[in-house]
Amino acid sequence: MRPEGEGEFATYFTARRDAVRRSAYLLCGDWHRADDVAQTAFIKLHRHWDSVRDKGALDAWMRRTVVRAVVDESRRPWRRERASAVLPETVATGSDPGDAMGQREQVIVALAAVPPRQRAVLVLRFLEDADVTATAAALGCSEGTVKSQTARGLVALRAALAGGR
Amino acid sequence: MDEREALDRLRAAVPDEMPPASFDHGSVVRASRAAQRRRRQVVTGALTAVLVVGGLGGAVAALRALPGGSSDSSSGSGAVAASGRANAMTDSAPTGAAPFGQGPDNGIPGCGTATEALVSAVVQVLPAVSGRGPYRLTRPCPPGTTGAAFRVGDGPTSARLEVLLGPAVVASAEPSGSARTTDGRVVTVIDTPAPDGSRGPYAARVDELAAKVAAALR
Repeated sequence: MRPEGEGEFATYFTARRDAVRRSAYLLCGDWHRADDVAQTAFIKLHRHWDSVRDKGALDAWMRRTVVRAVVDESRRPWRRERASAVLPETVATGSDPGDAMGQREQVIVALAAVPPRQRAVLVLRFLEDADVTATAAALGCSEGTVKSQTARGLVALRAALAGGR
Repeated sequence: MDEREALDRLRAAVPDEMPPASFDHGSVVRASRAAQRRRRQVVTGALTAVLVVGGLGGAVAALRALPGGSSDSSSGSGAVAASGRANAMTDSAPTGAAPFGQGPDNGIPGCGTATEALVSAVVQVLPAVSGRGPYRLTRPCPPGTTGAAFRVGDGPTSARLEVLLGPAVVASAEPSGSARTTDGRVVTVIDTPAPDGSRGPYAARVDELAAKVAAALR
């Protein structure tokens, strides 16, 4: 990498690390996995920094990398997510579902029950405020697919939230 | 619950507090540079193999073409011998492991992604880690090593147990144990502390776990 590229990357990393971690966490519901995904994405970005021509599109590049990493990894045999009545350990034992933390955790659990691609669409469109075009680019699918996945994802999320009450 | 309420709850779920990151700028840059070095080594190795094979094939063909030597399908048998040798150089790994000297280009230096056989062996030996991994490794590894990490503590950031399989013991400053499989590979188990320094529950059992995982791998 060019010397000035190292400084540019460092600036971008400092500015965006936590945002990327947060996105990864919303996509996978697990801080350990989120850090793995985020770190891998930054390593890839560092390796390809000089070949990324449009530095203004770095956020989109990172978004695409993180989303695809989470969705691709969810397909591995031992990673296949199964619906479970047991709450994951990220939910504090005895947390009051009435308090803000408890409600937030319930939503994360419900989001984890949504199929990976639908979950990715919901996170990108409603939490990252990505439009349909940007979401389609991140997922590598058509805009029509994004719209249908959005509708299905919302149905799945509503069902998961209603079931968790 | 209507759609609007679901979306409101979704937007309210964005965490405003986060646990400390397990990586920083320095670790990212180090991992990136190590990956680039490995890539150059793989490319250099592949080019060397091509040159050697080409040279051997040409040499054998030339020798057989000398007066008094067998000339029937000489270049063919030379090419077969050379290609067999090439296959031996690049396809020496036991079933279920990544080829020696290679690893998936996932940006992680050294350590290849754990095979399903290794993950199954770990879960068989330690059922408590089921569903708590596997996570990618970011430590440097000898070429041909695969592995994964598993969460073993409580809370959003916890200690990890790293299990690696490869041609040699993976050195570590952390508590670690190793054992050989029946086909000569080495299982290394490393207890990696949580960011706050707290140890996992298996730090004193890493030797035992390595032996059990090695025995579970057939």
